[in-house]
Amino acid sequence: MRKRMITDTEAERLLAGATPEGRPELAALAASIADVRTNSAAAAPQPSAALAARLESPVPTTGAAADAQPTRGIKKMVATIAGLGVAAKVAAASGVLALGLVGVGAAGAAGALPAPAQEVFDDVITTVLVTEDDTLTEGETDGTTDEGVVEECVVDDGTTDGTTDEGLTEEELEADLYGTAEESTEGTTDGSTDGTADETTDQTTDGTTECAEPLPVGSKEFSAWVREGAQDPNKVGREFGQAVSEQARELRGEKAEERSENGQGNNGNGQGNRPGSGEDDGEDDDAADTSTDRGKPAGTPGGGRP
Amino acid sequence: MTDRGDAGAEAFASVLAAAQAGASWACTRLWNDHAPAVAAFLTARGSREPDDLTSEVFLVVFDRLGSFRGDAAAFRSFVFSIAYRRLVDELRMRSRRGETVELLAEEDPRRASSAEDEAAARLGDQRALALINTLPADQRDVMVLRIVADLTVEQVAAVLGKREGAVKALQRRALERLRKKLDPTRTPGRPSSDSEE
Repeated sequence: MRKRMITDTEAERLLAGATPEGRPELAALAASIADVRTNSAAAAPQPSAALAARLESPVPTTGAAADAQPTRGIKKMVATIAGLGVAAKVAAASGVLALGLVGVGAAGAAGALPAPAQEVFDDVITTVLVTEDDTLTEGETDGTTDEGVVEECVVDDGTTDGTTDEGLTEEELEADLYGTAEESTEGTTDGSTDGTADETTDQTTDGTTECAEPLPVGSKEFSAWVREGAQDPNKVGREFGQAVSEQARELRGEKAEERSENGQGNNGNGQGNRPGSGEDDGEDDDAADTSTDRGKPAGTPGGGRP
Repeated sequence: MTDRGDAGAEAFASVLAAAQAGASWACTRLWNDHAPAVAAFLTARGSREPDDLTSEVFLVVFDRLGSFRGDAAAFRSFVFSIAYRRLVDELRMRSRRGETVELLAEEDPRRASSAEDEAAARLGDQRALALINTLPADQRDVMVLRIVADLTVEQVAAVLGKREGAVKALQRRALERLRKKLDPTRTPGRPSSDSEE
């Protein structure tokens, strides 16, 4: 006689430890399963030491508390840092901060930051670049390739002003500057000398003008404030970023007001004001570019002439 | 399926919320409600240190508790999914490294078994478990999860990553095989070789 197959319904009954109706031949199987069910029910095993500690003082895993829970790697890093000395901790913190700033800087430069962060980044970078631009222009005033230093620039301002006060005409002044430029471009190719001189003259004059313009009072303070804030772990964060943004906007407004008050158009807008020293290697190309100005009267207004 | 903690859906929800918030009593409750079944499942599936492995399973459970959403049945599947993975890890590691088992006199195969030993082995769940251990691995997983862990077909499917139809087919074949083995007219079969898994 062929045995009947077990159906799904009968299987459910069997797995519950009961004999399906009309299937007495499955009674032994049902009894065995019932035994397994009965005997498998036991008390909870003894928890391990780690689990006992966890049960004793569980860690919240919901909401912000869960999000704030450090991962295993972070826990390990924190434990490692905790074991360091004060100097090592400071060094480690500086390294982390530097890495963070480099990362943020790279992302900001690529425009890859989230919109609010990108806005803050743009504000800060705009402010810093404007300050650097001023400094470089000031540095070029003395006709050297020394990178602009504000203190040196102030001394050169005095020189320039004094020269002007000596009663030299504009042509004499430009001739003087022209000659200076020629001297400064000695050793370079002859073909580029004139163009370089022209350009240098223009830029020097612009630079002088730019240099004579006092720096906004808040620029250094703002830069220092940003630097200090960036090194302060308590300030690094969204609030600090917003504060930097607000401060940058205010500073920009102040600078714009000062410029408008001084009435300086600065037609070059920084483009024609870029430093153009004869010692600069890159000037050969610029000289070639500006060779079309060759023969232009020295007093011809153009480029960044005031 | 019934929750072994005898807690209704609301009770479980409150216990779960408390455990997620870090309440010691709630975590202990979850342990007491589920650890016995987990340990029994691990034992039945051949874990060498079922109690230690159960503790490891619950350390993982508590680590991941914050991300869990669901009712008591879902939580049971969640716990057994972790337990099953840890068990597979242990079995795999054991098969890779080779098994080192402490030699016990009563387990020495050269020792002739007494009539009392054989009688005891045939008693109760020992016999049934021995029968289950003769099943192929996939059928054995289904049977142990259904009988010892008391999971539903849906839960077993979730734990094993199989379709419900496949689980039903496996349990049918397993029951048929067990019935044949329990048939008094049949000679005892060989134990399954997949216990070396």
